[in-house]
Amino acid sequence: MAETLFYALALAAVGFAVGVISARSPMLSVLSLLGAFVCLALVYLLAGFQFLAGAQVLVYAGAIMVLFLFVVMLLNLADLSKVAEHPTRVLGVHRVALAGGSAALLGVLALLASRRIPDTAADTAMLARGFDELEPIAVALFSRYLLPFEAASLLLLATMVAVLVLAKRARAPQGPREQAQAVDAHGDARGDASDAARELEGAGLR
Amino acid sequence: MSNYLQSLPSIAPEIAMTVLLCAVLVVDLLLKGRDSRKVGYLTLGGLGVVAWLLLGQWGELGSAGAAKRVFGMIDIDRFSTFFKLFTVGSLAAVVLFVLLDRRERRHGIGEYYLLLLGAGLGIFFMVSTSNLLLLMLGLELLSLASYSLAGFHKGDKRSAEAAMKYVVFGGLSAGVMLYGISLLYGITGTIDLTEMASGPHSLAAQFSSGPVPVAVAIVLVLAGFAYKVSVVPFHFWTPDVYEGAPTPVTSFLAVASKAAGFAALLRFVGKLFLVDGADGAVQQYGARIGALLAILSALTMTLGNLAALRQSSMKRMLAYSSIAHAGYVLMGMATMESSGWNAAMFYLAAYYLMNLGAFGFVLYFESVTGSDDIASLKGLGAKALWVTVPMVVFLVSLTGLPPTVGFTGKYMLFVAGVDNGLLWLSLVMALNSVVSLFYYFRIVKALFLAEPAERSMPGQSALAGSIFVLAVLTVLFGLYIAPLQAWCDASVESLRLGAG
Amino acid sequence: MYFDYFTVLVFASVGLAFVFANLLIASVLRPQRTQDEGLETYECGEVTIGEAWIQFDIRYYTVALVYVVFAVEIAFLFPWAIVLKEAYAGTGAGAGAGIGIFALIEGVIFLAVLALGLAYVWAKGDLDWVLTYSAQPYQPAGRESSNLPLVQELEKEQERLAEERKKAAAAAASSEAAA
Repeated sequence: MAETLFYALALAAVGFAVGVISARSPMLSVLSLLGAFVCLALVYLLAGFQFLAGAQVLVYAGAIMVLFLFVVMLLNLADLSKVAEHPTRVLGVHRVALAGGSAALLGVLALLASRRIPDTAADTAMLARGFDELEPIAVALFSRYLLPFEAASLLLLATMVAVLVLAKRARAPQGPREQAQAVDAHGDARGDASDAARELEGAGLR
Repeated sequence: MSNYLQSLPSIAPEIAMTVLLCAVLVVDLLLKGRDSRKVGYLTLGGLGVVAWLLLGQWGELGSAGAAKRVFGMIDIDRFSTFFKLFTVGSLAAVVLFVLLDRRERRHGIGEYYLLLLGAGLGIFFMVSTSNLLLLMLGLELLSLASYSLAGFHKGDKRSAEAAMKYVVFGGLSAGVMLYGISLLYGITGTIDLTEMASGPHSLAAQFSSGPVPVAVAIVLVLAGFAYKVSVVPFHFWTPDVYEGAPTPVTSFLAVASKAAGFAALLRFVGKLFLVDGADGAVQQYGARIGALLAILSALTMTLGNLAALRQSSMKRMLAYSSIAHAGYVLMGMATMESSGWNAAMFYLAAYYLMNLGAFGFVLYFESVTGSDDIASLKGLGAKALWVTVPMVVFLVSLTGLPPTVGFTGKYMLFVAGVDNGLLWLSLVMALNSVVSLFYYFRIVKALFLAEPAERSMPGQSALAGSIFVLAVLTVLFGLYIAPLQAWCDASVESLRLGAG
Repeated sequence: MYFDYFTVLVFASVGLAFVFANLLIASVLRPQRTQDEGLETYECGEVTIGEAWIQFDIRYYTVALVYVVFAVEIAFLFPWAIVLKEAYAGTGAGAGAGIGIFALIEGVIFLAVLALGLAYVWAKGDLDWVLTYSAQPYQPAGRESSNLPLVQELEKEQERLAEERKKAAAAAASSEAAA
């Protein structure tokens, strides 16, 4: 029963993943991704990781999905001809596909061969404690894994700053005081003013 | 819980970095984004404190090879301290580049320093942990900050392209690596490298019962590392990202980030296959990994050098040259013996010095000529001897000629290769060094052998000063190799003993 | 263990069934008149302008990102709450390990770092929705005349009436002048 369910869910997850990259409309891609996330959450549930399944739905299907939706809406999809003007050469799609494809192939190989792995290799300490309750996870998180826990907060902080720096539009200095400071910061170099102007223009200041 | 409190002093450098990162953020907010140079000076001061703490730790570790494990996942040994010291040094150099360069200065908003510190903290975690979870977190911290830094020149299309490519390839490789780690966890039931090497379900034991999954898992993890250090099948991103990113960021990516990848790779392979008292099966398996690394090394150095021959942009050329140098370091690793690993460590230290200097030079001339074309350097050699002579030193060192640290490093690698039955690889390296002579000396030719240019050179004495200091160090460590060599030996020794 | 999630399954299937059942009922009950006006998007009786697919402002993304960060925080704080309760009550897995006060400090540090992030976003003005800079007055795109027959007729009628009024006014003025 569990095995059948697992294979069904895994197959569905792979199907949705294929849907993500093959859908014509970006919105459909995002919805396929949502399907893949939900399938994964169900797989976690099947394995007995209640908390992980909940977190998966909360963080991925909830928050990350919203992020993806906004990214799609950031694109000016009304003008798809502009996309064609920028050839995909810059991203080297075939290279990415090649690398990803070979990784997947290796995975399939591993899957085929892994029938020979003795199942005693499981994390016995973890298994003894069990996963279907939050307590053991909580205790492990706040004692043994406290450093990764704190590192995660730093990772989130860095992500927030990193993305906001890129997302923010260049802002033209206002008023005589800020302009004076801007000139001061730019130093006395020639051509700085035109550089700054070009930069503002390039940043899409509307 | 008390043992956690007791081990807090051991991670004092990490705590100091975290506090510094938060302080930079708060101070930048208090300054309301004005006068960001103060934030830069604060960063430099804080890095000084971190370096002081690290030096204290180095001394405290006492005899060579001493190591202890704190929090169950951080190894405090000379190996990690060595890389942390170099990371702090290169971070300081990058911050100086930003503060001192006329053009880069105006991009030097508070977030620049904050992201650099975040990347540095990620490196700290990466180089000192034997726990694959913390390793991955450190790697992601480093990568996320780097993606943003690569696209820091907003409005510059090449910078945006660099950031985009870096994100796509970085995300892919992180996924591949995580996949490998999950397979390793499934096979051995642990994410700790020491337990993986010695536990009841150790990799060697599992390898004898089912070789394919173990090999696949190891190769997938190695692929993740290979991306980070730009080894040949995973090097595509390097030239475009290095060219498009702001030059100080490029120097950070080429030096600190790459060396951190190597540090994590050395620890990963070392903890699994090089620990003392490993049994025959492990050594046999380690030898196969060594053979794989040797092939990758030959491919990497050859392809990097051949591609560098055709470049006209200095940053692109240095990018391909950094790929070639990754091949040299891999050659030391491929011996799977202490002597080779010592040489690899030494070469990494040399690589820090000469590449930081070379990128400092690129930065200096970018703000003079407005481009990083080699052609634009024509005839400028005599105009700014304080910078061009150090650049010649860096180029000599990169080629591997005496009396520089690059020569010593290559010599040690060559000897280690010959001693450990990798004569063919040593010869490939020697041939590659000859090839590299051609493109490195194109810069020298443009600088000194062309008609002297008419244009005047606005001086940037502070930036030139820091480049000069790096050149002095490059020659100094080339002449007095004993101290640096002793540090490298102690670092590798601490890795071999393990801290289980 | 499958029965543990039986209620979840029932809940999910009832929820799904509710959506499709309503669509089905509506399709049966609603009048089947398809005229051109009936196929127009309903926008409070106004004639719609442009497409619904517009380029969003990047500030939506900023807010969504902050939301992601705090969603992850929530995921971490569930186990935190459990471990604190256990430790103080002296029962469960965390009892006797002295983990309570320790976890409290850890959690506070975690929250403090994320609060710094929130402070950053706030102080940098990424949460201000009304921008004072680059203030371009809002200029709606020129309203294109609708191609619906009814609306076109109405517009024509209005134009005709306006013409007539003008003519009447002019006639009145000329007769006044003649008088």
